[in-house]
Amino acid sequence: MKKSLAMCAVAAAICFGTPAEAIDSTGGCGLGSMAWRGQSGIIPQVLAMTTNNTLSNNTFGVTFGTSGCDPNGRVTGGTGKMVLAVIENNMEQFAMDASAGRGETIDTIAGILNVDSKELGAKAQQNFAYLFTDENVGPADLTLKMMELANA
Amino acid sequence: MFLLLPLSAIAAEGAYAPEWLKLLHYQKKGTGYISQVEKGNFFLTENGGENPKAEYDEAIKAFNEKGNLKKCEFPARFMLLAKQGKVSGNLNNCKDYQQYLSDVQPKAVTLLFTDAYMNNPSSMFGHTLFRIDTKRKGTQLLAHGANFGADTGDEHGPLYILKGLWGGYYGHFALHPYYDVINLYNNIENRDIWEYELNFSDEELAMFVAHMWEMQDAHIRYYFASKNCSYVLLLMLEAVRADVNLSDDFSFYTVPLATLKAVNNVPGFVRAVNYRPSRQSKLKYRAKQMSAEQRRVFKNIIKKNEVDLSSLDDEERADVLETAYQYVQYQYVAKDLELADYRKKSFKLLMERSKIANQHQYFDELKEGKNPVLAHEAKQAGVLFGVKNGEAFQAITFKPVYNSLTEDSYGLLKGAEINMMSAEFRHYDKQNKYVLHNLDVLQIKSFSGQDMMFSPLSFEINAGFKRLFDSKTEEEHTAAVTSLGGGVSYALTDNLLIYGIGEQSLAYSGGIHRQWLGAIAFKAGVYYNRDKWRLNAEAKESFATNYLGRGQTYSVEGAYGLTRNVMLYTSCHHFNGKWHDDEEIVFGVKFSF
Repeated sequence: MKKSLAMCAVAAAICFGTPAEAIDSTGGCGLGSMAWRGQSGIIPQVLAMTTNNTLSNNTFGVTFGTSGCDPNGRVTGGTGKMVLAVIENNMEQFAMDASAGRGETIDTIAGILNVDSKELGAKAQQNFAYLFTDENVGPADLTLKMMELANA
Repeated sequence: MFLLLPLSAIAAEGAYAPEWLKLLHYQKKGTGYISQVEKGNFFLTENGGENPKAEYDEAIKAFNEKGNLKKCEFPARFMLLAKQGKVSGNLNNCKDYQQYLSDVQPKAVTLLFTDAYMNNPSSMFGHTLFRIDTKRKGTQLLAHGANFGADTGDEHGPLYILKGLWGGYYGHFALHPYYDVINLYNNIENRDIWEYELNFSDEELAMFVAHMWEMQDAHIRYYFASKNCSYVLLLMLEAVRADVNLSDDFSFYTVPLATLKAVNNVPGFVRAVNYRPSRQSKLKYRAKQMSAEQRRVFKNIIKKNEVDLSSLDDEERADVLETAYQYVQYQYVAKDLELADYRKKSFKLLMERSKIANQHQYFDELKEGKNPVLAHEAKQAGVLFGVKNGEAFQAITFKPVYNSLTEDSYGLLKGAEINMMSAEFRHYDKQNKYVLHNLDVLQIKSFSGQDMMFSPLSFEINAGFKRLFDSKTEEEHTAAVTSLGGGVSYALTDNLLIYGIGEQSLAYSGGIHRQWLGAIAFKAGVYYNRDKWRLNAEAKESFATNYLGRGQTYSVEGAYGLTRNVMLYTSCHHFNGKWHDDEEIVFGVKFSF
């Protein structure tokens, strides 16, 4: 019996999910970017941002704890919210792309902000030390700085 | 029946036309119909799941009613009925649906295939999901993956398996931003992603996106092996293209790769293919391009955490730093690094990288892979001839899935073997006897070479029925056998691996001395796989609770591929038994289909 169960375990398993293919209970929030997230207190930062009215949509972040995340698993909101979602959920890749001055996350952010990707990459690279002041930098902070660089 | 024919011919215009039936996922059951959707918000009428006509009539009525917003929940149905001239109006006032459309901004539909993932039995056959490509400016990072997954809650273990096999769970679709999909498959599980863009017309695209909206609260019973994620994806395609029949061929079992091939075989259905290598694939490819000096510096960074770049020029540094950074990401995900340590390392490498003011990339990125749709077919049959201990025999072999070490690995994971219900029947001449030589219920091997960066485990799992040789009587007995082995492999070249495995096994047979046989064994082997040539040779020393299992075994299996699906096969085997040796040699042909 035990043997047949063990067999079934694998035999059965064609593209069934544990845990990768199973529906994740977070409703589409945050599969990626576990490492950098949530260390520097994102809600206070987001609140600080919204009072400055830098971003177009000022209600995000508060309801769901993490700001870039939509309960329906969709990319949504205005440009600021979208940049934040991309940075927050692709922090590792974004950090590398910023230091190298090119890459898919830079292309994506440039697309959202409607600026030239090459220029934005160069700016991110030149200002890498400004963007990443230390290893505990948060996505909200980065979003603000990237938008500032894009407009500079 | 005679009377019904003309009636259904008329009705085929509407409720019984394939467009309607497939959109609501009805399938024939006896003389009637039953929908695959069993739960959730999907039907307008009480017994809608079994009554296409009632559902059709009710939809027309509801969608024509002024102020009735039901059409917002079922926009694809509305669009179909509007096309048939049965309903009028539009979906402009559907607030949530319009928001969905403006988030998704659909441009195309792409079928995604993620590679096999040997560390998780659920994923050994790969996985398929959809991507709704976006028109947004930027990249497809902002597109949406649509995954059909089972809702299993927190259940694990045997209950989970049994429920999964017999349809104890429901599955439904969920959307995720594509960057999350990439992070999960490419970066966390290190699986390559293949993107097959489908050739949808604008109308089909709109229907697909609308139907996906309808499906997010539609629950379909989930069967591990048959009606799984890949099967439901075929249903989705049929809902939009009622003229193609994809799912009919998969009523018994559904292997993701086979569904991908089925889609690819519809003429003109796939219009573009794109490959997105996993982090591990990228790292390996980058490491291959390093000069000896770059490799030395790189090794110091990843092994000793010493970042001394003085011997390299700027370009070489950039490549080493970027590779090292990606490796640190890999290590963190693999839990080889603590968070604080990980951050410090990452930060240091990127700071160095940002000082090299050059956006150009010197290493090539891995752009091309081996397209899985070109892999050999899953089923295999063979005709073999051989001699066993002086007696000639003929054999036929058959297995329904999936891949052996001796088969062409193009488009599949090299060094991985997964077979189920693999059987061999033999006829021995002298005794004029027919026997089931073996039935391998399950056979898994994963040989993946360790190197500077990666140290994967190699393993083998076997369960099934085999003929056990009794060296005393020189007779064979059918035994139930399970074994489990683990060890390491080293890749000497891209095509040549050596491995060492420790294995324990347990066998039972009514016919053998003391019935039970427990054994531990150690084996060393060489595996060569280059294009048409495949060879696996191993030597095994076995210690067992009874004499049947004790001794050394030497075995060689070789194959030469005439095509990807046809190969010449040979194997030989020598066992030093206590009283008599067991020897056999086999030649033959095997076909995949």
